Amino acid sequence: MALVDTFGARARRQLLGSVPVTVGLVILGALIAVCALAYWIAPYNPTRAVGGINEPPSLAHLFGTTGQGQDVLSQFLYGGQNTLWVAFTIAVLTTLIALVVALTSAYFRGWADDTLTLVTNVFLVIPGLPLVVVLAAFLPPGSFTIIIVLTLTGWAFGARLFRSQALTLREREFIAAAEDVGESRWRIVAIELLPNMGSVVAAYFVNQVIFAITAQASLEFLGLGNGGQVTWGTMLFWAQNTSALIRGAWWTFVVPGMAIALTAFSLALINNAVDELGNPRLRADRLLRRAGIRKSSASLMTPVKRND
Amino acid sequence: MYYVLKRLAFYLLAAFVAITVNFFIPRLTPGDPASTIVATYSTSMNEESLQALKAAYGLTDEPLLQQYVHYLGNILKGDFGRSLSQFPAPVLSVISAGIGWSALLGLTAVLLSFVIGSALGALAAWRRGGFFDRVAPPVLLFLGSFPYFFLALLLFYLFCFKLGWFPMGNAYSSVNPPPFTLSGIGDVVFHLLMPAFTIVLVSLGPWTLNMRNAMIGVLSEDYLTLAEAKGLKPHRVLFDHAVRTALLPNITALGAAIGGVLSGQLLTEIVFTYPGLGYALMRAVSAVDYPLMQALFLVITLAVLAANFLVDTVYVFLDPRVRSGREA
Amino acid sequence: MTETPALEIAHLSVGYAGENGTIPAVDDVSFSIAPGEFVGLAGESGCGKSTIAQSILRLLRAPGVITGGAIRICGNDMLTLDDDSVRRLRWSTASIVLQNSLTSLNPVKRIAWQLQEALDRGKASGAARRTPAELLEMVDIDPSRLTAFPHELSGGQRQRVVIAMALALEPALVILDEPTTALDVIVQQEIFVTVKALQKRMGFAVLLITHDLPLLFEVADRIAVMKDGKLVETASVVQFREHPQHPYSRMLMGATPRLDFDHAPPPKPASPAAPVLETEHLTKTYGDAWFQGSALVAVDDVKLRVAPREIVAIVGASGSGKSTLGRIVTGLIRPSSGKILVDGQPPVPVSQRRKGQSRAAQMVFQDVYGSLNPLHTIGHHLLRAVLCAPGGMGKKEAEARVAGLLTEVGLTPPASFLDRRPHELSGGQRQRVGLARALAASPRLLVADEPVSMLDVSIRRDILSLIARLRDEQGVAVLYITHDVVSAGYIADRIVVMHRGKIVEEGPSLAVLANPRHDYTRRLIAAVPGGIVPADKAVLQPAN
Repeated sequence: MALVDTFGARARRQLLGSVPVTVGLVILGALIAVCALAYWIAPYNPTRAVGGINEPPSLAHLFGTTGQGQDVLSQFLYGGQNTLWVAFTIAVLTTLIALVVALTSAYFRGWADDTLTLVTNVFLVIPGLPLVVVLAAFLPPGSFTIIIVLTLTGWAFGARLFRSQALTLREREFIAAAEDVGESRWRIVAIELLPNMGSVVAAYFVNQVIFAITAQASLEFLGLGNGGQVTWGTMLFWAQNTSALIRGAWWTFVVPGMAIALTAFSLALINNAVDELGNPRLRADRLLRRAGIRKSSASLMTPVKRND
Repeated sequence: MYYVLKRLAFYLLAAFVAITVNFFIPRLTPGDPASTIVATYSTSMNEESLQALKAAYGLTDEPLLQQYVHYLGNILKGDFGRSLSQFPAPVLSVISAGIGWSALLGLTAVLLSFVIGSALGALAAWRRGGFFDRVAPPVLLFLGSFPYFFLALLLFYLFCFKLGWFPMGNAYSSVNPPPFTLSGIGDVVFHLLMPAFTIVLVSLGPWTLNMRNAMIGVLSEDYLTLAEAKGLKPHRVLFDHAVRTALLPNITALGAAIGGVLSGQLLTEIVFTYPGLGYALMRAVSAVDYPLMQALFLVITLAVLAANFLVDTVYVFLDPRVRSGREA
Repeated sequence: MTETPALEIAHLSVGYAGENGTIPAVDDVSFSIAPGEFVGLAGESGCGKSTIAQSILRLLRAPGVITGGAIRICGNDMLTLDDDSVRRLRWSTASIVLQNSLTSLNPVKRIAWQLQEALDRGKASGAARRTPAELLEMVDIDPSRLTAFPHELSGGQRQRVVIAMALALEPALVILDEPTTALDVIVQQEIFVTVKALQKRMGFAVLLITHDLPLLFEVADRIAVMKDGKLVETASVVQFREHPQHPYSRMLMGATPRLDFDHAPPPKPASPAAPVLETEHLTKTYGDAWFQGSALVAVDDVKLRVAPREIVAIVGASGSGKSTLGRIVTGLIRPSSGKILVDGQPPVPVSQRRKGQSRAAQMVFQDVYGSLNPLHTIGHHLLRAVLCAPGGMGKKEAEARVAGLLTEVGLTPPASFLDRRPHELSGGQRQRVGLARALAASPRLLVADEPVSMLDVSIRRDILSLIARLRDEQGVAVLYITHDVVSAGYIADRIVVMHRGKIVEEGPSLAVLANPRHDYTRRLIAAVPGGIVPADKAVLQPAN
């Protein structure tokens, strides 16, 4: 799907008119906004004990307190900052690495391609969590370890995805034409090939943010994060460790958990909707529906709608 | 057949890489954790065990290459070292208890979500634009956004703790494993339900969406046009032509997904105190039992590689284009 | 006609749902086909002929919608019956053969299964019971191929299987939607011979959709011509050839290049200047012998010479190696062995090509749409080509040169084309841009790989004339690669015929066409629909 189509005026209109996209943007926007403004909005210091233990939500503590007396709302806000910037960084790094590997592989072919593909496939097939656990256990706990470890295990999927995209594009004659004309190779990759992959790269990036948020939380839940730091994942870790479930203190784990789920959901919603809008077959069905023709199933029977 | 051999060679290579990575991690990470481990346990172990521990972590004077060969030899013999938190139990015995349960839960959950997900995806694509197609994807997308362990926590809280409809964890009721009778099996199944349900709910989304997208792609292919032109009844077109070919990319994804689902499964097991490998993993992390962690990594990786290889082999029988040497 | 027509289309209108209402594609079209008749529906791309073909069995995909009229197959109106009845009528009264045989067959099911599936539909109505083996024999395919999968057959074999499948229930009408456009001329001829024989035996009517008028003249009884959704003329083929009524029909008839054997130019003396292209024992092999059993030899020991200002046509079917040869000449592919000199130098492989380096050969691509980056403007494409050309120039100079190039290829005023993107241009315009781009580096040799095969018939002659004019005005030699023997004879000085990687014949173009010596050349020429040599012309002697 060409970049022109993705960001053209008509596409913009369609995007904003789409319900899932608007819902997703609103949720995401709200979450990012409040977390960014944590310094000004949060009522308490997130790490200090400011209330009773496991107090249910009240006016003083909108989201209640934790098993150590900390304010859950403040933790949610500051924790969000930490979680989100780590996730974003991981997404940026994995996308960049995946692009470099994939483009090198797809454009130069030959032994470079064979080697890189093999490396990519090996990284892909080795299951993520056990490797990540082992790595994280041997490295000092904290955000940087998480970034390194998740980037290392997360780039392979993108590399394979971008490579197959790039290969398809590369076989198109306009690449051969650019070569024939004498364009330098890096120019061909950067200016002819890459822009045609815009929508795939964007969709992948969004997916990576989702992956990073949930994987980060999983690691921290296991105890591989820095317990002293406040992130949505460590909030869950402490909730588990202070037996919040058994004590019925549902707010200590529902708040961070739903924060993660909602962030991931809004991103997924946007991605999915954009994807659907670009799909020409779905578009054809939408056009028919707009003309007043509803098909009950995908069975092929050209509808008859007389003009008179 | 050539294709199968090529895949086998690849998985052996991947296994080799995993084994090698496992060897090097403690030796290459900063902070020399190896010495720390040895120092921690130097007081509680006898000389012989301490020597074995040092050897396992490369703190002897042996050259690196020799240590590596030693290590490889041990792996092939099945000696993955001894657990530190359950010393002197060999790591493999700690793990073997959990493998069976994890395999049971994993297989059940993956198969269920694959079958249900593919069916839902096919339905959504067939009736696209309909109510189901508009509602199901967002709902599944939402469920899939939950981290596995979080959904597990929620469901555990709701159904096991508050409502008490399901057992609060574990694989079976009594202290000893249940007999292989109908009621014994029923007990196991009953305990399996909530953890499996959690995993299925979270992993359903991708299967459904992938199947739906594959179907939408297939439905506009020429051979579908021709199938319709032949005047076949819609359900025959759907099953014999659309679903049959659209399922193929999903099956390829099955192999890749096994690794991902496994990660989520491990965390779910922790929440439900299901006596599988996830539980062992948590104990390993909290007790900083490095040999156990590393062994878990190796065992799980090798299992996933084997499962992938199996899926690839099955795929060869399903897609004739691959048999003649072309890439599907 | 007292008997029910096999197909009757009455005031049919079809449209495509768009952003702002329905866009008409077929407007009030009426014609009918008598039982056993062979009717051809001709027109250029976008005229609506395929839309009609797919609408007959209501197979037109979203966002297509039928907006009016009636379609009666043996009297049954497909547009008023309920879905189940339409499905019952499908295949048993009318069947269809699509263009791409590979995608028409289910890739994971064996041929026998797919044929049986069609036959099973006849069980209920008790039609004549055939077996899949009999169906294959009907189309001259060895029944042992029953256990094969679609990808294991050749294109021609596959299309025969699809035809056999279409005849499984002995329908009254068979719709052929451009069935041989993707196949080479010889295979096309063989398939139509089979179809005509089967038609005689079984008595079904045929609706053939095609843009190839000469083909229609050879096989059809009647012809209908469409333009922009409307039917402009119907007549029997005989009548049409003698007196095409509508101006558009006349234009179509005239669009096919004619070969004038009376005024063949005298054979040119061998040019004393150094040849622009010279190859000796040129070979290109793919694959490893030990790995795949036998390697694929795409180009086999080719010896070729092209003089300056000469147009040489390389003629052959797909798989003959002609495209590979073209790509070796321009440096896009490296030869496995042999000598090749372009303007005295071996071609620079693309991986080593640098901006400003002199290149003697430039390529004009077949895929008119695909050879231009959909994201960039025409101005960008040409400017880059000029800036990368040897000699180097400043921006102002380059822009002037771009305008000059556009004018040379007939895209005037140049300024109006600079900011347009490929999808805003017509096929012919895009190919002109392709030519302009190739000329940017002032090459001595243009390699044109099937430059017109994807264009409409009426545009082809214009582009071919343009190529000939560029040769006259710019002094560039042309290597014209094509499967179309007639167009080769139209513009080329010499013809080189390739088959399975080898050159089987070469000589002055009209001489080779009038008096082919190699068996393959003869078969190729004989397969051209309508023939190329009028029966009463004298035979030319090929010069040595």
